[in-house]
Amino acid sequence: MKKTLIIAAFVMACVWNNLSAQSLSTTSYSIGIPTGDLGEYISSASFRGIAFDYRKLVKPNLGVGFYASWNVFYEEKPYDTYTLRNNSISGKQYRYTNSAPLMFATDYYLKPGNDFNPFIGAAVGGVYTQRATDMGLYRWEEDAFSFGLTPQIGFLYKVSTFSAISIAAKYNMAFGAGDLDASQNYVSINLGYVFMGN
Amino acid sequence: MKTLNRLLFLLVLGLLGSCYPGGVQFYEDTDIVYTTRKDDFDFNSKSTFAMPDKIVIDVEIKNGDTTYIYMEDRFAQPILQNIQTNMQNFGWTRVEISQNPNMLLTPSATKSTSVYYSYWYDWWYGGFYPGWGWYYPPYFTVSTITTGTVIITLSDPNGTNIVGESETAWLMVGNGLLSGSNNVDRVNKAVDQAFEQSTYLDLN
Repeated sequence: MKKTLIIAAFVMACVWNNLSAQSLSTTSYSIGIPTGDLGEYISSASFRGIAFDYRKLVKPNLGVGFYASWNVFYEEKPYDTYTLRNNSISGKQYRYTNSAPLMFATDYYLKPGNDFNPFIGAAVGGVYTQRATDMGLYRWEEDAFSFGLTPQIGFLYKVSTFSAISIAAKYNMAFGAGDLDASQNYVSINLGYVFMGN
Repeated sequence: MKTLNRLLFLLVLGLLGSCYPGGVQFYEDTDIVYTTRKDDFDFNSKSTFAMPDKIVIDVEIKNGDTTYIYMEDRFAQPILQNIQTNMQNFGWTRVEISQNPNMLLTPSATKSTSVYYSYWYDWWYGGFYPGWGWYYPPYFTVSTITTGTVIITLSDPNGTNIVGESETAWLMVGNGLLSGSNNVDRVNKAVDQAFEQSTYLDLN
């Protein structure tokens, strides 16, 4: 009986171990640093962001899945005058940009099985960007659903059989589309909790 | 672990919701000043202007008679004085309407209240029952916002069209949320800003 239990425990452990290596679900707090056109519009970093990554491990060192996130950029511009041809308008501006990528993603793990497991990866998909400028009692809204590309580097640090922490830097590129002619790009630093399971 | 993951997700979502970026905090934050000019108008060829001693705030039409309603003098006078000072600082000379002025300056102000209605069915989660439920009756909310607008126009009384109207050469619109405290300072600030951003009016 004792022997059976030991064997059963061993088999279970193997199964659990396999299970734990089959997928990675990461929920991250995301900090966004705007660059390019987005950086000109809002220069402040965004501390309001959340990201979710799922990777199915098709090989121990290769994961495929999806990446979804939401970053909110905000900046209060001091009282200023904006001039376009014969028109000038003065006031305070409150600028908002919401960026929500939803992409197919793949990661390559450099040290699968190790506690410290660095990875590089890329994601391709769509990004919904909404830009709103409040001035006085008026709001101007522009939005775009654009093609996006997000390369990333980072690492996983295993803290238990089923969990790890992850730190990743992603460069989120959303190419010009819709109302927004220029790319809306930002670097995001994602601090995540990884659930390693099915 | 799955529960932990879900909790973490909800926690982060909650944090996000609670710290959604702010915006307007004070009435003054809603103040905007808009100015525009007629494309080819040559302000430098003009030097005199006339303006009324009152500020129109409403027009009443009764039995075919048009009556103007004016702003109370205690509010209007400091505003009119400020407009005149700004014009004079830019090298303009105020003359009487009978002295054939080059330009006419007409100040006016309006107040408008918008009423917004909204209602929704608040939902609740039936903890002991399956599914979702609805409260009845629905909640109604009503909110109003009152905005104040100051409009100043400069037009050339000699450049009239066939029905005796003259096109506006310069237009200033100041708009903001009214606080109910009749704040003349905010209007004067808007007037000052309008001149500051319209340097083409400067004859000096």
